[in-house]
Amino acid sequence: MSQKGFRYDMNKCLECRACVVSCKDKNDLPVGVNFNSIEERERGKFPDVYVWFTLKMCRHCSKPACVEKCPTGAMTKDDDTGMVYVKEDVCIGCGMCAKACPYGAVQIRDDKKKAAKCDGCLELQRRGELPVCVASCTSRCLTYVDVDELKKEDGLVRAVNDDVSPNLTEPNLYYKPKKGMKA
Amino acid sequence: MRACARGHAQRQQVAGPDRLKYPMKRTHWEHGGGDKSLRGRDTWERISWDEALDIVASEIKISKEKYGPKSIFLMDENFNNQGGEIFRVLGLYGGYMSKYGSRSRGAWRQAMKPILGYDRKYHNQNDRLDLVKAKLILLWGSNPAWNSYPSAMNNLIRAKEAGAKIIAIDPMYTTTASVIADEYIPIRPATDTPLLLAMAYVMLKEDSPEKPMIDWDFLNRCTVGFDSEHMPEGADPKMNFKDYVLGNLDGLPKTPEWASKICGTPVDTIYRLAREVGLTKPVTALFAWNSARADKATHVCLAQMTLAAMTGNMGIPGGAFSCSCQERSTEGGPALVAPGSTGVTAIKNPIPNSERMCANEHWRAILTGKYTAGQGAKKDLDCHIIYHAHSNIVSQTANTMESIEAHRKVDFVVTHQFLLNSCAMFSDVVLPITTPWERDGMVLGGAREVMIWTQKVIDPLFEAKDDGWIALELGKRLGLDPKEVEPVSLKQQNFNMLAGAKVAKPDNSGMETLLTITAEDIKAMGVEGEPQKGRITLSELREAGSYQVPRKMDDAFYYVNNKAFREDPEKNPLKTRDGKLQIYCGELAEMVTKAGWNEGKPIAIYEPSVEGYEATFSDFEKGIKGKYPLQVCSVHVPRGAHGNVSNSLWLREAFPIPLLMNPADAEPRGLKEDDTVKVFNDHGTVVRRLHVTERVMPGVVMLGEGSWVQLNEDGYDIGGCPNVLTGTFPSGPDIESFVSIAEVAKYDKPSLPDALWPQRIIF
Repeated sequence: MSQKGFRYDMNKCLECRACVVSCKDKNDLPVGVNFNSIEERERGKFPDVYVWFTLKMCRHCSKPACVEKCPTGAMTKDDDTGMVYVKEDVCIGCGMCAKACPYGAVQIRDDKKKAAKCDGCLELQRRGELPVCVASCTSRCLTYVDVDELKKEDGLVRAVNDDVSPNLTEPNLYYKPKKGMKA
Repeated sequence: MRACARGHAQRQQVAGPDRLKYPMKRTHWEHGGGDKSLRGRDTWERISWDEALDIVASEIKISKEKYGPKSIFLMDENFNNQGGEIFRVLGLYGGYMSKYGSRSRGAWRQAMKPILGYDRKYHNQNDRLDLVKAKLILLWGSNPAWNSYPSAMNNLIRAKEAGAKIIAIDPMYTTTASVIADEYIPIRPATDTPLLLAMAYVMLKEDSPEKPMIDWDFLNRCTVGFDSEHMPEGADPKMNFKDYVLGNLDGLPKTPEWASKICGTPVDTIYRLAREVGLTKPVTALFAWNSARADKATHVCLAQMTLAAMTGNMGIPGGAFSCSCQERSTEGGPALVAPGSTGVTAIKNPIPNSERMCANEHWRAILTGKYTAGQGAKKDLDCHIIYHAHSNIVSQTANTMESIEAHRKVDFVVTHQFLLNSCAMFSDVVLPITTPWERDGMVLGGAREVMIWTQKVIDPLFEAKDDGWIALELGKRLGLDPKEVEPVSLKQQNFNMLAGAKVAKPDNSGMETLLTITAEDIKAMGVEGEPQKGRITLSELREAGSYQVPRKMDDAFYYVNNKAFREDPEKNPLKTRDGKLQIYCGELAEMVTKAGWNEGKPIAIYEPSVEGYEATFSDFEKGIKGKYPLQVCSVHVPRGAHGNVSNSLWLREAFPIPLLMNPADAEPRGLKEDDTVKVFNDHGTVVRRLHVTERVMPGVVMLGEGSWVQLNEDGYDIGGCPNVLTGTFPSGPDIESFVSIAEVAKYDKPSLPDALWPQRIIF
């Protein structure tokens, strides 16, 4: 199985949320169902403020807790890309995956009673395209590459802010922390 | 080029459930208005196109015959020559009341011509590729990360990578600042001039041959009015900038201590900033229009140009003091690619320009029946119809509450719209129109290096029609000649713009034809024209959607503004009164005074806005705060392009637009994160959720603009429209004022996040 990953450069993110809205559009998501978001954090006191933005999305973990806990096999890891996705026809909406995910990246949709999450736009990838969040990133701070490349690059981390230890699920979203940020 | 979040939300604008589907009439409207107070809260009835058009035509006819053409106030816009259809209809039918004046560019729109001899969007900017030559870049009220990303940000990031220091000066620690600035300097809204004057003061006091800050050579050769030795003919020598700053004119030296009390920038920061700007060469200072979007703010334009001249940052690589906004954000120089003309000649309004009223008092004029018509002159206005085409100005002009009152006064309001925006909401008849995606395309210029051709994506939804079709149908009912109403079809207009598109030759020696168009292309488009040869084919442009001129560092298109003027001002004069940069600008002062609201000043004399920082005090000198102690600063936010796409739930969810307030202001008021609060003053009340943040200057609250006004049962706007809080303060020559003061308190009724509101679905 090959594993792809996301590289997110926090120095370049403009919080423009093109990734967020293009995801809503591509996946036709109603209000309240979000596969990604941009979180704003600040520290310090005016005028000496430090602000940083953090992309939150599915980490497409190498040891995904959602897949492990899924009782029906609906939560699946794609062989070609390592993307984690839901087989809707198999999902019973029990919510074990949502409880298990330490990143809050899975939700049970009220309307469908099924698990819903980012699938890395597998359908687009199979047509040779990029995940829509990456393709729409206006500042090119989000890229999508083989995880082996990311492992080689210095200065990348897999946990920022209050993320759990990456040893837990081996996430594949690599952050380049913002200069001056306490990683 | 990649789309912004608003682009990705277009589906919700075009095909959302809140799309207006049919012509409709306010239930309680009848000829004469019916119960006018119901406008904005009445129910709607579906009517046929015939009925709708008959009503509109008949109301126009009656109003014209009974009260004259000036009784019809038309708010149309001429967007890239693709709009303005109702200008033609009413122009041919005898005329209409029209408006003049700035709504966005503040004092910049009119002041630059007398000061510099030109008025253009790119103002004084050098080439975008020249930014890498700046040693210091000031972002003055400029936040491209929120309102002109991403190309402007990329240009700035490149400059930063090349070693430029970037300082952001703003009432908010902006997203742009957080991404690229090396330093952030706070300033209160609408107090830019005191800071600029104090910087000039420090430079005048500290300039020396050892540490030269002032470019005396540039001042002496290229400007008039800086000191008593270099005054324009006929001007009072005492009335010079230097003596004003040093206090010789009014006994008040414009020291950093004086300025700090007004603008809130710490005294030592002002000294440091002045020294840094004075001693660093070259400096590029990019201002946003907001700095002069306040009443009487011509002093900002004069002060900006004076500082540019003093520091010699004009006509040199890496040096410019300029505005930097919209598609020309960070981008100076004449267009390298531009569409041709539509082939349509405008219809002149039979009512002469001298009868127009200023956009910044038109609501009051409708209400009082009087408007300002120059110094000491008032004219009568008897308005019976408000006609909105290409307009969302109920929310987007100052004093929205007065605007609503004006809409509830007249006999008839009609709006062309595809969503129930603020104008449509307060109308009697709404005509559902197509979005740009359902029309025969648009050809857009404006940016220096890009031309865009948008094309029809889907057929018109429901009963939506083009504005052009509406114009023809109204024309028919008013007895107009259709060939005059629409002399050139939209399709043909687009073709004309494409065929006439020009692009700069690679050596920049002139322009050449952009497009190769074949006889087959012409046939396929169903238009008339001649085949032509150009740089790229029509199908290449159609495929790409846009054409971008390739650029390289130091190529033939490299541009430095006013280079020739700086080198030899006698040989290459500016188009000003005496050919020089007017630090003393008698022409501007006369324009201001003649406009009729306030007395013009020829030099950068600071005058506070009526509802500026000073007005937050009952006694400014003693420091006693008044009943509205906070300044409200409205800002562009990424949710919408002004009022556009404000309906999209995806965008509302992604960009919630809370009121931003510093903890130092929130705590004494007992307010905390996510509280529902009311922001209120004598003009109106806005209800918002609160975001408590250290990013905003204490004493200032910030509110994103563009939301559609929506009044609740208390008469409060729960939509979050900042113009509910702005008043009517026109000033010369034609400046709007979006400056306001307010108090904030907890609101006892809970509010839903914007994304959870019911949509404005009528049928």
